[in-house]
Amino acid sequence: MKYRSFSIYLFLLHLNPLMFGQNPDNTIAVLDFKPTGIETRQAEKMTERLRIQLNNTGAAKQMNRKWIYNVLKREGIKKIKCISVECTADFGNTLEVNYVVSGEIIKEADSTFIIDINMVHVPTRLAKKSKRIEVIGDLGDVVVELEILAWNMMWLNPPEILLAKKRLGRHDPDVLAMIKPRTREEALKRSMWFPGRGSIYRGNILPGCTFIGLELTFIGLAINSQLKFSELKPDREWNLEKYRAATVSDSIQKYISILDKIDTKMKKENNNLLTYSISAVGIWALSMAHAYYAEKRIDEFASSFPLKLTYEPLSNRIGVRWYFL
Amino acid sequence: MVFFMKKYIILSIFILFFFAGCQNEVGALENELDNPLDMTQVKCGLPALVFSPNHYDVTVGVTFNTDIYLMDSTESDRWYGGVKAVVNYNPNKLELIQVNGGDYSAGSAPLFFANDSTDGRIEIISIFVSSDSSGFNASSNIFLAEIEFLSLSEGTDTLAFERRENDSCMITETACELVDPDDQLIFIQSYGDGVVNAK
Repeated sequence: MKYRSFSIYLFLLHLNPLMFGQNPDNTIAVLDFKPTGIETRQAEKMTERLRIQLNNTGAAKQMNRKWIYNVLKREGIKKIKCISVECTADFGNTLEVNYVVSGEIIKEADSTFIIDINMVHVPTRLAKKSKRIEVIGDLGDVVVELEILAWNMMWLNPPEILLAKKRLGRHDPDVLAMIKPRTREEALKRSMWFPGRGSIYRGNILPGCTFIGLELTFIGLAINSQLKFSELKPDREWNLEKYRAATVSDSIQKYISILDKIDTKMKKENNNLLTYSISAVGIWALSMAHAYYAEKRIDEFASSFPLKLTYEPLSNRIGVRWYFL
Repeated sequence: MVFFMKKYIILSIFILFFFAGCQNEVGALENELDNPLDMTQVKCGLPALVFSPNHYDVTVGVTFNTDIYLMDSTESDRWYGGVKAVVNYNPNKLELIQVNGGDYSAGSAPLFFANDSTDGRIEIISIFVSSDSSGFNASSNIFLAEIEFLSLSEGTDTLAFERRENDSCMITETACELVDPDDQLIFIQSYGDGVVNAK
């Protein structure tokens, strides 16, 4: 009986995505959103956040940005100028994907943005989802809206944290409590396991990657020195045996000279090994110190200055908005 | 929290020691250069009479060979006409089987004698007589003789060149002799005995 209930539950669980055409084998490409009134770089970053959330849904196989633009470049398309359904479907044909998402982020006023988004089914050239949303707030609020849209486009319920961010605001204490704080202690623990991890965890990507790179380099060099040392060891033993068996003075002197050279090389490799090992430990310690003491780098969309001068286009008023953490 | 930090501090110390211990043991080469025929190993100067090798690990009841060499510098311009090497050993521990001549007795008219009439004592005489009486140039190590022994009992014995010396390389008396082609004595500066360890 229990088994039958479980089977029904599994069936229903799978029915929902099937009914709405969700298929993890479907391929989807997200084109960079067209920026209007905001910087291109900001639009690209916000599109990337949409891509991350789409990946989190697991409902479709997403093509990465680099691949998309490489294919378009190869086909002679340098810039995406249109976001209409027809135009998007054409790009989809070029990319040979099932779905293409395109859109525009328009800054209407200081604190008013419009997200215009289309998800086009390429084979039928039909817009499966088309939305135009007005967001009142800052770019961080636009990102929250885009992240929620990513789940909605896949006919899925967004995670509670995203809904809470929208409902209560990103800086609401309840929302912040839901996000696990990235503490110094946690960063330190991560850096103890491997250098750079703690720095990346705290948002310091470049120093983190540098620590990882340096650590791997020094470990690699240390291994290389150890291998060279190990290669010289049998050679030394062989020549030492020959030296011990030699009875002719010239041969004895020759083997002493060879052994001297091998010994010098071995000592050099041994010193290198020690230097690289100590450097690796040094990088490790430095990474731990950086993870603990470096300032946390905050997501550029996650926070903004708490006091803001705004313009409300509907009421044609200038105002001041603020929030307290 | 304190427990966690303690755990991670231990981990850090482990990592530190792991990397700091990343060094290999390299023995000093000087301590491993132990060939008795190596000029640099001779402390009291050249020429020298030596056993090579100078250490024998043997099994009781088994025969083994020892070689005697006359050593001189590679830059030496001395000429030798003959040599007498007298070797003492413990007859209770070793039994002499035979003595064979070495390079010195390989000339056109070699003279090689071995006298073992006294227990525990071998007298080896090797004379080089050539048509021009030029002798033997000793710019390298000269293989004088090969002695075959049988190990009789367990323990350590020394194959010693017969001599009396004080601690500072000073030879006061010796039965060994080295002569040039004109039969003039050449002082033997060093002696390298052999040690037999029978098990």
